Amino acid sequence: MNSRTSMLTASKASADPTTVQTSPKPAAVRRARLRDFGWAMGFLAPQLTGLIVFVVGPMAFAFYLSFTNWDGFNTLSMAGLDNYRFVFTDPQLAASARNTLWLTALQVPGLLVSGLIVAYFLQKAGRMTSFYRLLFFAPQVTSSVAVAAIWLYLFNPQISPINSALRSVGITAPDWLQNPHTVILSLVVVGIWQGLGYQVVIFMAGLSNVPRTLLEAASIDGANEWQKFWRVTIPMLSPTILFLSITSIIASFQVFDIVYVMFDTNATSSARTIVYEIVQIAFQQNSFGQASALAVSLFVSLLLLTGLQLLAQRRWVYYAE
Amino acid sequence: MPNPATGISRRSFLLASALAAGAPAVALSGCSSNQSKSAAVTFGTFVGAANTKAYKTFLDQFTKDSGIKVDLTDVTGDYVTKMRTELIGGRAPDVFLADDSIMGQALKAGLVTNYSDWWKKNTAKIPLDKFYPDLSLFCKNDSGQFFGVPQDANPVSFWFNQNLLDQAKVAQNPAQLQEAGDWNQEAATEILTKLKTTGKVPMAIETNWWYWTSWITALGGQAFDDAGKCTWATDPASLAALKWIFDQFANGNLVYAGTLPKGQAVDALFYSGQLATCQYGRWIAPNLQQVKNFEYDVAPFPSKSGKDFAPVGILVGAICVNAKSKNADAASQLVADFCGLRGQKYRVELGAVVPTIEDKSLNGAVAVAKTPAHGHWYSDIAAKAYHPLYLSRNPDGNAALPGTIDKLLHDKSDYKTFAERTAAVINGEA
Repeated sequence: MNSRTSMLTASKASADPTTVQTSPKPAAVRRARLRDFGWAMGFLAPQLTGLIVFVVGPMAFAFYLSFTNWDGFNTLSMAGLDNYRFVFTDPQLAASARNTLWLTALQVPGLLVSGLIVAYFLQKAGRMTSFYRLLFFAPQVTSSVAVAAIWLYLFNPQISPINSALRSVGITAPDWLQNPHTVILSLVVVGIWQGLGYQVVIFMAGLSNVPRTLLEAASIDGANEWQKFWRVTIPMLSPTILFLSITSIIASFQVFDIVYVMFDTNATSSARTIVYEIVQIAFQQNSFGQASALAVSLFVSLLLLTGLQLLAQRRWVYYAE
Repeated sequence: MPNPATGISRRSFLLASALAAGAPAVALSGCSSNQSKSAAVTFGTFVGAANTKAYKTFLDQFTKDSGIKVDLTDVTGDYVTKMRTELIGGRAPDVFLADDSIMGQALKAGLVTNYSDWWKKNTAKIPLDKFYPDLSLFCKNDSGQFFGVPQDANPVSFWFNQNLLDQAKVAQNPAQLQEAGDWNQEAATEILTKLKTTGKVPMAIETNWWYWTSWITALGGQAFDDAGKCTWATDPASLAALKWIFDQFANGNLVYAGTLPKGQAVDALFYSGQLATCQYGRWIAPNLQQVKNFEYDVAPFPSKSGKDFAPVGILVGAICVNAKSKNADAASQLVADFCGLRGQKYRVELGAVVPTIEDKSLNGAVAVAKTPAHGHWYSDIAAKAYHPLYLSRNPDGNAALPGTIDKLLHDKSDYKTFAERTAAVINGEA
């Protein structure tokens, strides 16, 4: 009898109080576990190697760098907590953090609400559903450079059709990307336009999993469309909303490419985001220590925020049995 | 013995696991430098679409003459950041273009080969002693040893759109004023004021160092002392020049490019006829030759006397040999040919640069330039031009200056505050 069979017998025996328990020898169990562990590690080795080399290693190095002064070229020296002091006291970084929070506060609800509305109506689009879904998803798979080029044109105050349209009805539109009051709003519009497709696809998958029996039961009880949506569909969609809110918040906090392509290395104070600052500090100012401290701070902030969201889910997320 | 449950023997499983675990390591080792011992070198530079064919022709000839194969990488986008990252990561090519900031850092960190060592044994291959001393300073250490060779240069000049000048009823353009000995600050102010009537942007200024130092020195200021320290916060003539710049902002003759709509770069605005004048080097000449919608010409910056070629900034790039190169001799030969007489003549004739070697035939190649009409002035402008030492000696200040200027201009600082803050950054005192 091999160890696995003996363990099976033992577990059956423990389930039956009338039988005499014959537990396997501890050494045999250890050997079996060790062998299983060896198999598991063997199969996991390629993935684990990649994870350690490309994720864990760089993260640990960045954490170490955050306590040093290093320009990339010369010998590094220890900086203690100076880089973290810089991160929490620099006025420009405070402005960039505010911009990022502002962008997140506008973009995440914007994405969730618009994504849900579009998905809800797309479900009712019949034969055209696939076509519309493709249409909404197209910006998601368009490169950020192309997206930035399109929106740079649309936001150009002199040649923009948006501004021309506003001018025709007597409204003087702002210089969207130069005006400190409209630049974040402009980035949010681009973000929602580009990210909507993904939200729609996920929401549609969530909507298709809402049991028809519940909706039919609600109809029989006299619920109207709005009540069915608000009291049945939304609670059933809550795990999807949680997932999308977590991923959208993380994505919003990490906005970089669109800012970089639109503004290059000369983004004004009101347009700079945290990740943009990380790149500027590291690769323009060669302060890898300060950039790492900012990256670590961002990582910890996102970790805490995600943790809070997961804690809060107990109050509002409903998982169907 | 194979395991009856799985059909896999322990030995074959361990072998498979070892291979699986080793695969990424093998893949990673492929990422490391694997230069062959053959005469082949990698060359990273910024070529630009317009010059790709010319570079290829030149390098093919080099390969034919020397037997050294060159693998050229045209680094697009933000060249400085990309090359700096490759250097830090130990992945830089054998031969690469270094601007002043890369040069300063690479020299300090010992990442570039001492070129003088190779040259001493091969003096006939490149006239290193004939290079303009001021343009080579940033490639040298304190002992005067070359760690890079200046490939070519580009002094800043005053380009103008003749059609917009005509539209603004400007009787004499800057080139004619220079010939008449009247191209000075007053004339520049008058022209810019008239250009404003066209509804186009008269002049734009960016955060690049050369705009600011060039205007200051052209209008009689002393931007730097003999030791290379920035003095424009204390020199009265420099402050007067800065005041003039800020006055032009105030009266609409000058626009800060950072406040222009995004996606409207200064050169693109000039090509499209939306900007009347711009202060760039010879590098825009090939693009302007494609422009058919307006007439244009070039002049030096206005000077105090109105007739002299004013001292202005000059951009210089150097070609270096990577200290980690396994083909240092072949790489040095490429540098000698590329930065020597043959290479410089080749590029000067492309019409976008001026030479860094004092040589009649090279200057002649600039002088015969027919586009624009006064393109031959580039040699004269270059003769008076300077390349500030801080660019390579204080790479951190060099990197921080554009951001500082941008912030000061967006904050609507006055010219005195501007002078103090920027001088502090340049001198490493900020």
